[in-house]
Amino acid sequence: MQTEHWGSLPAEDDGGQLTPDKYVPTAAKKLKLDEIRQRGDPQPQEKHHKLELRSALVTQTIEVMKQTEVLQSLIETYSNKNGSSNYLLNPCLMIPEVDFPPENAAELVGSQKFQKPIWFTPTVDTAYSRGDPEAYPEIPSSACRQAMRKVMCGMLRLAGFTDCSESAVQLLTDATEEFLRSFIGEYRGYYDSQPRLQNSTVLQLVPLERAHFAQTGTSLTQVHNYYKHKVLARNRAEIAEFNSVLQEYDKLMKESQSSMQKQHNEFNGHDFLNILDNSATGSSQSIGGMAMGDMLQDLGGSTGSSGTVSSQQMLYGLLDGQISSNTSNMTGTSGNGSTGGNGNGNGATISNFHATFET
Amino acid sequence: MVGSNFGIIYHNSAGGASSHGQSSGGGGGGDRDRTTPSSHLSDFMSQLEDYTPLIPDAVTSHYLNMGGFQSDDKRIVRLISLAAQKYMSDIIDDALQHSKARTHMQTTNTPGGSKAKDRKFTLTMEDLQPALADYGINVRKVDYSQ
Repeated sequence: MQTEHWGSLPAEDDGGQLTPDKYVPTAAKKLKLDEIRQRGDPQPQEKHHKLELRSALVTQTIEVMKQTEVLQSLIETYSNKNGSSNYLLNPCLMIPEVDFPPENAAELVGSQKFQKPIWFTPTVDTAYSRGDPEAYPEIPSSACRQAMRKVMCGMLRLAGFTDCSESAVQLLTDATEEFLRSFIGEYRGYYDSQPRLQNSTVLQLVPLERAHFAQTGTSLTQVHNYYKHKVLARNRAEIAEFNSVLQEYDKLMKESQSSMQKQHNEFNGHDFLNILDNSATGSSQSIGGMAMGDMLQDLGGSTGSSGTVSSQQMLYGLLDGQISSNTSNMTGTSGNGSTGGNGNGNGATISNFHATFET
Repeated sequence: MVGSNFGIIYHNSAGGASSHGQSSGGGGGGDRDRTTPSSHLSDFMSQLEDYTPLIPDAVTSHYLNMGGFQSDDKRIVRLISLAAQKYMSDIIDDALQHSKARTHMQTTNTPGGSKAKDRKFTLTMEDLQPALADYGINVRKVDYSQ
């Protein structure tokens, strides 16, 4: 009797010849592998979602607030404010020109939109008003908290805070998260208490209103009042303040420009010569009869330091138009201390100084 | 409830302001529908497109999903975002009032307080704590740090 051992191989090999449907030939495998190599390594599917905090109205309000602050600080720097009118602190100081584009203070929301009650505004048939479903990207809780933190910073700035402590922002973020959790928990609780809605996941409005009332003691329609009075009205008020400060600044700048022009006209070369002449005679009687060229030469020789040279150069610039015959002499004095004149080259230097003064 | 219908009272009888409101509203439904609070809300909800909340809809949607909801109706998502923003704004406004009161007291006690510094307000826990307490959020330090 032939014994059968467990695991023994069959004596006759009936599957000696492999048919093509039972195996994949190596040549075919190679083709497949080449094709995969050409396609490149499989990349993991990218799931990056950019979470944008975009509330144009709030962003504009904060920007306008910043610009108003800049203008106010400039006005405080350059003016001596007395009652309702500004006076220039230093008439010789040029006030810088500021260039804020007018779009910064543009009206983002139409003035008609929030003037009348909601139901007097006809509903426009859009995908939003129809409530067409929209899929939101799935974001992790950490990203939500980060976004919320930024939102809190924006809200703090909008309210009027300029700085805040780290722990306060953290606490506000926690409070917002807790509010959302408990609000949605309350909302869910209403669904759970209704047998008909127990398994529903579709959002409904009436339970939301009840949950909001349970949570805050007010109706959801108060959101409209909040948006109208706190966000929109704040935006308008900030823009109005910015415009008034900008007008004030323009006024001050015009005042500055006219005073600069006046100073420039009054302070011409002829008067300057008189001043110099008076000061020379006043300071020392012995050099009363000194020639103009000699006096300036004396000035150049006595003030060797670089700090005084610039003021001297400015004076030369002033003299440029009036005493062209003396230019070679004067610049020779300031340049190398000698009275010898290489007039042409130094004349160019003088005109350069003059340009520097005018700017 | 004050403000639940923006100060407009709809009468049950036809005509007058309610019929005007209905005709200009452009929406369906008769006067009977108008008197229900939900119709006010649904009117409001359909116009929410112009109300841009600071809290992104995706963040609110995340919390709705965590609460077991399918957040595909963007109108309700936006309404929740705005409600949360309003709630936090109320708290921050209260904190600002506390901060102003505290700063004012310090300025009056200190002789020669500058006017320029009056415009700057810093939010500290000292101001935030009582504001949060008014809204039922009690903040306390842990025992070992007191």
